[in-house]
Amino acid sequence: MTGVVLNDVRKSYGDLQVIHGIDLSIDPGDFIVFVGPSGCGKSTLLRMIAGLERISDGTVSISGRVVNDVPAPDRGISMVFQSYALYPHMTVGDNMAFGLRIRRTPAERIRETVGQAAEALQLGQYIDRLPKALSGGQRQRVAIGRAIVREPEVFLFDEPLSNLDAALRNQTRMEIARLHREIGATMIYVTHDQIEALTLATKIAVLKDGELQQFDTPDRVYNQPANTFVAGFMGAPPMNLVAAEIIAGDGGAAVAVLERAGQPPVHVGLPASRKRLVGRRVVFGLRPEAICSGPVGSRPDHAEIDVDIDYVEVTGADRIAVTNFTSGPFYARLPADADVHEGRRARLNFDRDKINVFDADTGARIAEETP
Amino acid sequence: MTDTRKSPTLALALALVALFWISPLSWVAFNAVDPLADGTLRWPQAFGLANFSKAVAGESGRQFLNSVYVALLTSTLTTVFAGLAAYPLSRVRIPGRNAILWALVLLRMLPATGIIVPIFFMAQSTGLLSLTGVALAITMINLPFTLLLLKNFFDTVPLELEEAAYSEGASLFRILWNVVLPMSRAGLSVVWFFSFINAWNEFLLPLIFVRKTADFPMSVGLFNSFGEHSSVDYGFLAAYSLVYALPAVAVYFLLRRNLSTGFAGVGVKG
Repeated sequence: MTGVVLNDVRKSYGDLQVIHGIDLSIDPGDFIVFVGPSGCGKSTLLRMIAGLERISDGTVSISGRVVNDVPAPDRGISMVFQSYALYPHMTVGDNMAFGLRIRRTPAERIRETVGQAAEALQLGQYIDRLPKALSGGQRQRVAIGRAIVREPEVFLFDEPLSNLDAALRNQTRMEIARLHREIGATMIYVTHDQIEALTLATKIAVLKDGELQQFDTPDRVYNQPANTFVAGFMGAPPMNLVAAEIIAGDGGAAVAVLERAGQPPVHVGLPASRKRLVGRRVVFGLRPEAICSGPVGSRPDHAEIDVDIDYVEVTGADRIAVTNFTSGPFYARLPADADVHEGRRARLNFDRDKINVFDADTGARIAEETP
Repeated sequence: MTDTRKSPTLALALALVALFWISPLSWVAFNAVDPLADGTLRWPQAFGLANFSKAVAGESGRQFLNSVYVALLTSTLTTVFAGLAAYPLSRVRIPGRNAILWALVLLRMLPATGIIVPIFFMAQSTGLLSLTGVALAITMINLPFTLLLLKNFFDTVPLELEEAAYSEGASLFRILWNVVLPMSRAGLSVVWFFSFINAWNEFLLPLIFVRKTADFPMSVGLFNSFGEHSSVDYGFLAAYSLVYALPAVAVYFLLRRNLSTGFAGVGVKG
């Protein structure tokens, strides 16, 4: 079992720095997902760990050994490429055996290992076929098989599902999760798809412009995003962000004044744990699913807002209401039977304890005070 | 052209064109199999293979082997050198790479005959006024074009495949041998056959490089045969021409087979 440690890792192309000092400590057996928008440096970072890209500064260690100057084949890693990178002129079996042959593994052992991997990946009957005779999903499994047979300490996946259609993507995602459970090796996975990140990862590293935004469990990344970027990036529809000023209300309680475009602001009383925010300008973050339809009723923790519904998107299981609460879209994920209609006014309420608060200037999350 | 009805006028016109195209070939064929051939286009007066046995025996047979030697050496050298030079041009960020490539295009456009005098003197001073010298000179002249062609073929081999092989522990030689070259098979065969035919057809260089008739390749041998005997032996010339043309036809079919098994572009993506 092997851990991977990145220490102040940087990458520059000439004067242009694309990775700005990333520190990460990956525990053995973890499934880490690097996620971020295009151009955030996630693939570059993966390729630096793989040994396909030079590390400009900082160190990468695998199993406690600094591997900056260790060539890729000696790092104990296997990489699965976005395009699968199967050798088109070799059969499935030869593709999987290629690395073993280079390492002069005895032929008998190669046959055995490749046979086992092919069976496990349901490729047994395709072993003598060329990649062009396989479907996209099968090719993907060959690429994974080629990584498995080398028994690496660390698996690296570079957007492995992006060429598959939606149904196949779900299925292959589950297979990769199963593979991780069975092998238990450390896996690092790059994707721009936040669903893949949330479902597969034991920990997610969110990147933006070559900087690490948050490195935490999927639950915490989703429910307690480190800053407004992570809040807006993770989740579809994204977290609603509303500028607010916190004033002192009755008895010193904090009251948020939510700014609205062209309408009078809305006052929302905050829980006692937010007292110290009084006087600050903040950004309010509220997940669309934290919003319910109808009046508060008997729930004292909830706050009420009235909005105009611009648009209702029916997704089957729920209805996504797009409202005019802020100048940008403000989403509410409501049950399929919710009484919301396009062009009508609706009363919504939300749980005040589920509010995330971010600093208006830095965008960083402001944690709740512990009593 | 939606009218598929047969028009007699059209058929006649096509027949005339066909006759026009086929007459030189039939001239060669009829004369070759006619031991009494006198050079006119006529139905063979007799039938026999005497002309062919003359065309492949003795000095003529030697000339055939000379041609094979020059063509094989040229095509092999060209493929090896063009491959070795094209790979770095395709993969490595060499400063001034574009300038190099454009210079190759320019070299390709210049008439080879324009540099025949310096090439002759180079060969003379290095003792290469021989068939080997001819092969080297044709290789040199072929290289700009074949290099560009192979570079384009190498460009189509996805870099990720090489990265995959590299991270599996393959050396550069192994990557080339097991991944890049097999995937560029179509390109390599085009280059090999192109330079084979080029060398086979080459006339001017062997003419000025080689002095003895026994060292002539077939192209020069054919030219030489015109004045060889007091009267021109048309039957022999025709048979000789056919033997000379044969490899080109064979190469055409080999090339077709190899082109259709090219791999470029398969196996990546879904």
